[in-house]
Amino acid sequence: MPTTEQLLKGVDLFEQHVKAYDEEFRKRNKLPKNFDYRPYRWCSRDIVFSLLVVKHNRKGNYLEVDVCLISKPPQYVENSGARVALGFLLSESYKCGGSMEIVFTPNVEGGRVPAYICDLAIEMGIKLNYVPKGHISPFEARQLYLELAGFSKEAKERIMKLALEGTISPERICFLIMGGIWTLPEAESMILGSQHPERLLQSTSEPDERHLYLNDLMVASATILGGVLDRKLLKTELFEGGQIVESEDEESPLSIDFDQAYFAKIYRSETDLIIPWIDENKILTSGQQMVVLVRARSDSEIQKYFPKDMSSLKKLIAKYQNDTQTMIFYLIPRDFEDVSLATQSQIIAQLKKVGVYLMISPDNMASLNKEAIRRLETGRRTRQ
Amino acid sequence: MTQCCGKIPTVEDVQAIKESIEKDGQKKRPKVSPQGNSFQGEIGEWVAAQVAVEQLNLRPEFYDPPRSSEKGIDLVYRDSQGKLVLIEAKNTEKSATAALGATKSYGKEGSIEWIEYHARLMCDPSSSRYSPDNAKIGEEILRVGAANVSYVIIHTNPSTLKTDTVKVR
Repeated sequence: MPTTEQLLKGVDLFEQHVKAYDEEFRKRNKLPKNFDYRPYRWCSRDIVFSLLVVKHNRKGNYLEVDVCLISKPPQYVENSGARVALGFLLSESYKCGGSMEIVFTPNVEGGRVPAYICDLAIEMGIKLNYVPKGHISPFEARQLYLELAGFSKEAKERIMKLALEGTISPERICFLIMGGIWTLPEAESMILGSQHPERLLQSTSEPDERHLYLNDLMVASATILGGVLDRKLLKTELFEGGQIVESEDEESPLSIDFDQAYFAKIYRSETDLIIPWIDENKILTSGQQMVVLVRARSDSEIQKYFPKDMSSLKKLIAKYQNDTQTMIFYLIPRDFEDVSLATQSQIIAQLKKVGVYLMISPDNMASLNKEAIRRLETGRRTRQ
Repeated sequence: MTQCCGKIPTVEDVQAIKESIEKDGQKKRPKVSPQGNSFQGEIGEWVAAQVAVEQLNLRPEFYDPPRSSEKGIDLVYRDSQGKLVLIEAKNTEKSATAALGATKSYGKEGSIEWIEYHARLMCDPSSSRYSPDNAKIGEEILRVGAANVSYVIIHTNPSTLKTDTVKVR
């Protein structure tokens, strides 16, 4: 545990770094390079999770950490401060182009790996071998990064397979998640639901390679459609002064799995949740499961491929029929409204017959494609 | 935590952080809240220590507890047969079991996995929870098995000051 003296010394050093940064960069309206010391503070609302000062050491090709102060806010899950700090250090290490090695200077708890980071490593079952020397080796850093991103066992296996084939590095996938380009459930959908996830995650297909690019765009749009539903379900609304307000930092306790055979998402909640975007009032009760077949289709595609989707839905029903509590949904974009009224009625009637609920997202294909292009372009600009 | 945001702070930001640390150092006590806070936690532990000795006839064990704002095993005692009894002190308006926190990987406070995780922390010299006394207790928990160690919640309601004891295991 860091002593009070170490804590106060660390805050003083952090202040010195902030003043130096102000003088050298802010006042001169200059931006720092990766090899300049940069101070960061990580907060949620008014709670400080971590204070860090880092730079890329060019000579040693590692990330040098001069201040690493971590808190353990009791309002959050255990080791939340260490999660935030380590997530940043690993992402910064990747972004700077180093070997992923992290080195703590003697100013950090006397030159050892911070105790709270060790607690987190123990929680994740990862052994750190150079704690007294203040080093996290590239191998340990990769293990920590993959564990911190929180992938499922199946996704981790696929990632390791891709890494062994040399198509994509695990740290790049983790960086895309930590950087907010894709959420964890979205990345899992692509990794498990696509034949070539490495192409999507590295944004390698150029628009000129029309077929490859369109294929990637289709998978990315379906992934985003599923992601929109994730966010809608995760969002918690609180009542404050008689008004509904969205909570910035509270999410519904929801588990999200993925059925790779059907590109379907499986949701389980620990509390009752109102199911959005359907015609009737339905609640996903605590412990109940809902399976959503995600299909990002335009109006003409909906008409053309509905029989195929219907057959997938029937297989899904057969797969999950053992659990009578499971509800099945068919999620499509708002383009459904552009389908002729007669076809709409036919689709609704057929779904009702097999007990599937139609779920229409407020997004249309144009907006999903636009977002997919934006994300693929952002992915192209990150370190390969 | 999911919305935790990082930025390069200004000198004013650092001043505010320093002031809040200094305020904490001056022990300005916050108000009692139904959700609980570190001040209430300290009172809860003090009450729990009294209840453990006077009502449950337990014998205190050498143990370095976590800081008041940190999670972990609050108090460690032994019963008349010499078996370890782990005590969780709660000072909140919530019920004793509802006030239990959770980890990402090891479930709720007091679960077998949670106790094992904390025992491992106590034994590992790199961890923040390590001390020679804690290591002895951690090793004993791992040796006899977390399922065979008693876990008791001593709950105090801050409004009524009534205390109740819940034996989880």
